[in-house]
Amino acid sequence: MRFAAHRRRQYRARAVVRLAGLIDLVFLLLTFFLATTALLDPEFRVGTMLQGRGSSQNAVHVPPVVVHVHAEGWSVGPRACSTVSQLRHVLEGLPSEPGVDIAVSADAPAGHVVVAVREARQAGMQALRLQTP
Amino acid sequence: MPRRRRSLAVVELTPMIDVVFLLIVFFLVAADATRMSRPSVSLVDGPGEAPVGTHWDHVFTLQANGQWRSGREDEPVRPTQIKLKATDRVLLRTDAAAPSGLLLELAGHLRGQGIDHVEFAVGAGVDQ
Repeated sequence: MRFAAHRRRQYRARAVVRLAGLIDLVFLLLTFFLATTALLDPEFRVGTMLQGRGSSQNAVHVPPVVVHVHAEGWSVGPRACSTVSQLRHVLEGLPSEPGVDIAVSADAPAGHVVVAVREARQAGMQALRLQTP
Repeated sequence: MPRRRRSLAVVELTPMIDVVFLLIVFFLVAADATRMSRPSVSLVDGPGEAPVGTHWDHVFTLQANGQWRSGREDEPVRPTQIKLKATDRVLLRTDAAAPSGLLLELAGHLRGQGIDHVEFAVGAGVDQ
């Protein structure tokens, strides 16, 4: 009984967490980052292998497929491709095992080079060489 | 026996919030926000093989005006001044309209340093 009486007299502390300051801070930071963040467009990668003209002479196997990149588009052997879909169609009809060499004319835009690399990879050609000066 | 007075457990969050806010403001002001950006170029659209990610040792961007920029420093660079290790992983971001000769110049320079791991960045769209 005495213990019970002692408990009645005991002052019980109440834990009070004031959230107003925290909420203010969170909204300030949220506003700051919303105002300052510049969303970046997602990008993807396409693999390649670099090979100079000098080293290609020492290669044991010379790839039979050569994609020429020029200002008007691409050409694979005698077949000229002015659109991406044409290039894709031609490359998909070629065997992927020998690989492909990409030869670039001086007047070609860099985008055409990237397209040739991308389409060759999409056609399953793993042995892909970008001929460099 | 004297009665012991129990101390009240009070957590004062206001000073901590003030200090945290001050630290955040300090680091926001001191941080170099430009390191998180990248030069804007018109990339060839995908499909790509995988997201670019952040595991590159070097990122170089070729702008439409023929200017190479280092992705981390966003400063003009010349291909002949670039000295890398053969094991470095390099990502090339090139504007679709940039001259290919500059792209091949850097590619040849990288090849001359024994760098094989070079990849191109493409956009998220689908090129038809």
